[in-house]
Amino acid sequence: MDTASNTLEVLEVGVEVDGRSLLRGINFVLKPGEVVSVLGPNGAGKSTLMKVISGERKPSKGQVLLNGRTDWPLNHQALMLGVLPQSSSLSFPFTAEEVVLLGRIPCSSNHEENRAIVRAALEKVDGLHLRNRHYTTLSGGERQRVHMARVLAQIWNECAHGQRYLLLDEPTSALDPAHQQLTLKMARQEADQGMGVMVIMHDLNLAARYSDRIVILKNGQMAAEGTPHQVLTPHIIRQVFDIDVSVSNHPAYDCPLVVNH
Amino acid sequence: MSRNQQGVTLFIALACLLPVVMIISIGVGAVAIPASEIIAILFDRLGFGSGAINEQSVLIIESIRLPRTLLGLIVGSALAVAGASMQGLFRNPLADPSIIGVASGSALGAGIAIVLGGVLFAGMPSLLQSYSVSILAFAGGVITTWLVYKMGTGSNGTSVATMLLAGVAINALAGAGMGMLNYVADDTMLRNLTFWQMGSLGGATWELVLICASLLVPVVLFLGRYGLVLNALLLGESEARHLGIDVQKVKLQLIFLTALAVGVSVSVSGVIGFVGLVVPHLIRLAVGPDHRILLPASAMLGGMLLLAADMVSRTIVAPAELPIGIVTALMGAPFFLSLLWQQRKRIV
Repeated sequence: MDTASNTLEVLEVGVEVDGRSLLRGINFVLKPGEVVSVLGPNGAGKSTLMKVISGERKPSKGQVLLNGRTDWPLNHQALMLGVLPQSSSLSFPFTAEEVVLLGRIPCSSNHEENRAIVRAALEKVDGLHLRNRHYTTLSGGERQRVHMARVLAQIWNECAHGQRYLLLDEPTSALDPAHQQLTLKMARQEADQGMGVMVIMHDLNLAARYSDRIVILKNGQMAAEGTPHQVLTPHIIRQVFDIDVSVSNHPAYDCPLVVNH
Repeated sequence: MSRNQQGVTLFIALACLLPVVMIISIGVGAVAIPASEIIAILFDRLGFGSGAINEQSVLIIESIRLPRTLLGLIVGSALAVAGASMQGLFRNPLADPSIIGVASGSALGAGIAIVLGGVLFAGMPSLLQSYSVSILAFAGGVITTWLVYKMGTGSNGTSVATMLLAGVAINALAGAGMGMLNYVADDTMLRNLTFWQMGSLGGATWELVLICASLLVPVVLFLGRYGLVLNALLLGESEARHLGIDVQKVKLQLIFLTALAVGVSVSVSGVIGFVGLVVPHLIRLAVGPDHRILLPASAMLGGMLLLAADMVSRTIVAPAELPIGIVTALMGAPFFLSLLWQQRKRIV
C-alpha cells in the first residue's frame, strides 16, 4: 500500500439541499497520527461534514477518499472508521457492557477476545464500573462515555485494509471537566498510536490544547485551517464567532490560550 | 447469573413447557381426552403401536385438535417474531406489526372477499373461490405495507416517524373501508366479518396448516437470522450503518418478512392482537433486549401463549366459542397497560 493513499482526504466537497448550499469547497486531509479539530458556530456545517465523511450522506460535489478509495464495502469501512455521533437514542435496557459489545459486530473475533476488548475500552473511558448498569439508567455523560467505548472497541484492532480513523462529533458536550480532559487525552493517545482523529467541538481552549491542526467552518465554507497558533487569533475568532477575545500563550503547554472579554 | 446463562435457562424452560402446553391444548374441549391417551395415540401414529386405541379420540385428535393446535403454534410464533422484529426496526418496545398497517390491511382484504367475493370471484375456479378470503387478506397486507413504506421513504432513506404516521393514517383508512363493508353486508356476511375482525383458529384444517407452515416456518427462521442486525439497529440507523450494516437493504427485507408473517397469519386466523406486543415484552423482562435470544424465545412463547388463549376461547363459553382476538385482548391489554404504568416511572 503506498503511503499517499493512507489518509482520509476530503476533496472539494460540497453539499446542496433544495438549491441551498450547506457545504462548499471543503478540502483537507486527516493523516494517521494527528488530531484535527473542526470548530465553527452553530449551523456552520460541521455535522453535515461529519456525515459526508462517514459516508452517511452523499456529497453533491467532490469526494471523500478513505485510504485512497471512495467505494469501500460497508463492512470493511466499519473496521477503519469509527464514528461517534452527537447523541444516540437507545431506549432498550442493554447493560453498558452489551452496548460496547455491539461495537464488535463488524469484527471477526471470538467471544473471549471481544469481552477482553470491551473491558479495556470501558476502562479507557473510565467506565468499567458502569459495565453491569442498564444503559437506560445512565446519565447523559455516562452514556456518552459508553458510546465512546463502543466506537473504540469497533476499531480496536489494526485493520488489514488500511489506517484507522476516529470521528467524534462533540464528544465532550455532556461531560464534566475531568471527563472532558480524559476523553480528549484518550483521543490524543489514540492518535499517537497511529489513528487519525477528527473532533468536532466548541471549546476553543480544549481544541487548542489537544489538536495538531484546526479547521474552522463558517456558513458551510472553510474560514481557516492551520495549527492552533495560526488559526486561533483574535482576528479570526472575531470574524467567525463574533466575539472579542485575547489570545496569549498557555502557561504550561505550547498552545494558545483564549480568554473571553 | 449472566444474561447468557439466563438465556439458556429460558430456552430449556420454554422447550420443556412446549410439549406440555401442546398436549393440554389437544386434550381440552367438548370431549376431554386424557394426556396418557393423547400420548398413546401420537406414538401409535408414529409407528410405535400399542394396540388399544379409542377410535373416537383418534378422529377428534386427527381431524380437529391436532391441526388446530399446530395452526395456533405457527400463527402465535409468527406474530410474536414479527412483533419483536418490528420493535427492533422501529427502535420502540411498544411498536406492533398492526401499527404499520399490515393487520388492518389484511382484515380489509378479508372483508372485501367476504362481502364482495361473490361478485369479484364469480366464474373463477372453485379452488380460488374457496381461498378468496385468504388470498385477499394476504394481498391487503402486502399492499398496505408497501404503501406505508413508500409514504415513509424520502430521498434520505426511510424516516421511522413518517412511516409510523403513515401507518396510523392507513389504519384509519382501512377501518373506514371496513365500516363501509359493514353497511353493505347482509346478516351472514356480517357474522363472518365480525368473526374475521376478532380472530379464530376454528377454521383449522390440515390443508390450512400445511399452507401456513410452508410460508410461516421459513419466514420465522429467516427473521431469526436478523438478531445481530436488529441489535445494531437499536442504536439508530446511522450507528448501524457505521457498524457496517446495509441499513436500507435490511430494512426492506425486514418489512417484507414481517408483512408476510402478519398477512399470512391474518389470512388464516383473522386479526389476533397483542401477541406480537406482549410476548417480546415478557422475554425482554426476563433476559434483556438481545435479539439473538429474543427472536427464538419469542417464537416459542408466542406459540404457547396463543394455544393458551385458544383453550380459553374454546372452553369459557362452551359449547359456543369466544373469538380468540377477544381473549388475547382481554388478557393482553390490561397486562400491557400495567407494563406501561411501570415503565412510566422508570423511563422518565
